[in-house]
Amino acid sequence: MRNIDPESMKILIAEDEQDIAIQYKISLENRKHHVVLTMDGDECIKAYRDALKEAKSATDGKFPFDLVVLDHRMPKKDGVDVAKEILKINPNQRILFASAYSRETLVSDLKELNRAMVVIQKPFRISALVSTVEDEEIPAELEKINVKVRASKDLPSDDELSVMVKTFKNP
Amino acid sequence: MASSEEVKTSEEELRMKILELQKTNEELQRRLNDQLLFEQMMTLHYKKEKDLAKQLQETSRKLEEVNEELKRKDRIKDEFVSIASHELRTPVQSILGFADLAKENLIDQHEAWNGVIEAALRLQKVAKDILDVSRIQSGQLSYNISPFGINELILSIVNSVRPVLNSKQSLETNLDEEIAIEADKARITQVLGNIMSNAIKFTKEGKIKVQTHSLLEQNKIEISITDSGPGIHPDILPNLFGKFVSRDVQGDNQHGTGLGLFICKGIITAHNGQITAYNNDEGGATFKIVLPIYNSTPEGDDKSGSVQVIRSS
Repeated sequence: MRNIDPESMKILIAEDEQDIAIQYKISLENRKHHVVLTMDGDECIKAYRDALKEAKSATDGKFPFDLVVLDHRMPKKDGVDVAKEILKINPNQRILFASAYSRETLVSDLKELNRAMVVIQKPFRISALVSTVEDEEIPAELEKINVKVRASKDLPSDDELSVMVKTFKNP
Repeated sequence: MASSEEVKTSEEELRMKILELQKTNEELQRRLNDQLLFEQMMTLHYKKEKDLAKQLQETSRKLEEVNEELKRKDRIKDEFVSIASHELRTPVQSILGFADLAKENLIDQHEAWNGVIEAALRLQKVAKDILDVSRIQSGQLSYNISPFGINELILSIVNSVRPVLNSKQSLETNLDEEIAIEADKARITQVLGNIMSNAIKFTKEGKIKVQTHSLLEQNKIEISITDSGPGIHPDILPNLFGKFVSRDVQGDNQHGTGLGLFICKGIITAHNGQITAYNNDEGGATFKIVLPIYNSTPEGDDKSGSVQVIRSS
């Protein structure tokens, strides 16, 4: 459900298409979120580490971003590799994939992350991005699947991944 | 003393024995021959069987190879479809985003329209390139061949790209005597335009030089386009003329489709020409195109030097 008056979130975005990155920023800032834009995979990981260092020095111990939005195909490092590195630093980091790949490619690529992911498939309406970002039920649903995945020590099944891709494609 | 009667009998017996032995010998010989024949036949049989097995093995190995090749081609095709649809969806995302933001008054209308137009043009370019690639791959790109002067064409392309130069970029030509080639003018324009635009795109400051050099003894003309940009990244140089290879690996987003050079190579190859690229020792990159020249006074029916094969196989 879309939150009428969402709590402000801190969001890190990696998107190599400048137009699209700026569109994300404008629409999310309009909803009072704080947005940090990066243009490729390396820059995104660097921004994540830098923010982590700052947060640690502020000794509040909290992870710096409520959400990381990743493009799939990017120069230098693709979205799946960025996700792997970020999850190594913080296994609980909420990540949203925004990808222009077909579902088949997505499902097979995300499998190696060994967890269910929220994916929003391009092209989508800006309102779909905002509502997916602000939907508070999504993290809970994801956690349910991921508990199962962790318990079975198996990769998430194609069905489980497909559900995630399908559910959040376009409202 | 034995009587002559007795001698006769023993002689008779001896003859009989000899005859018997001869018979046995013949029988043995016959059996031996049979045995030898049998062995020969068996050897031949085994050899045939072995040859057959070898042939079967060879055939099955070849089948496996063909199968692997088909699988490889299928994977390449899947990958192409996957990346191609990605490249088509991306500008649509851009168009939708600008429209949504403009509708909600979150962006300046003028900026939004410009964004929509740019993304729509990009979408058109991607679609056109994908169509060219699939036609080149299936050998269905048709060429409209006619003779024309190469210098005239180069100068007209140079004049058409000159307006995009900034004050820090220069574009020079150094052309040999005018020579005719027989080719598809529009497609050669596409190739030279693409290479020149790339050279300008990657040379933020500096010189782009277009030269021709006729190789008359080979009935060929060499066109080279040299820039003083950053050169081609060594990682992508070996596969520069492949599909979805973009020189934008430095993360410098230049909106290339990554298909341009594949198309250039397809067109030049279909004209019996060659296209190569390398980094210059003094910096920058050079693209070299060699094309057959037009032989307007062929001896007899010999048309060597002009384009004969107009379709890529």
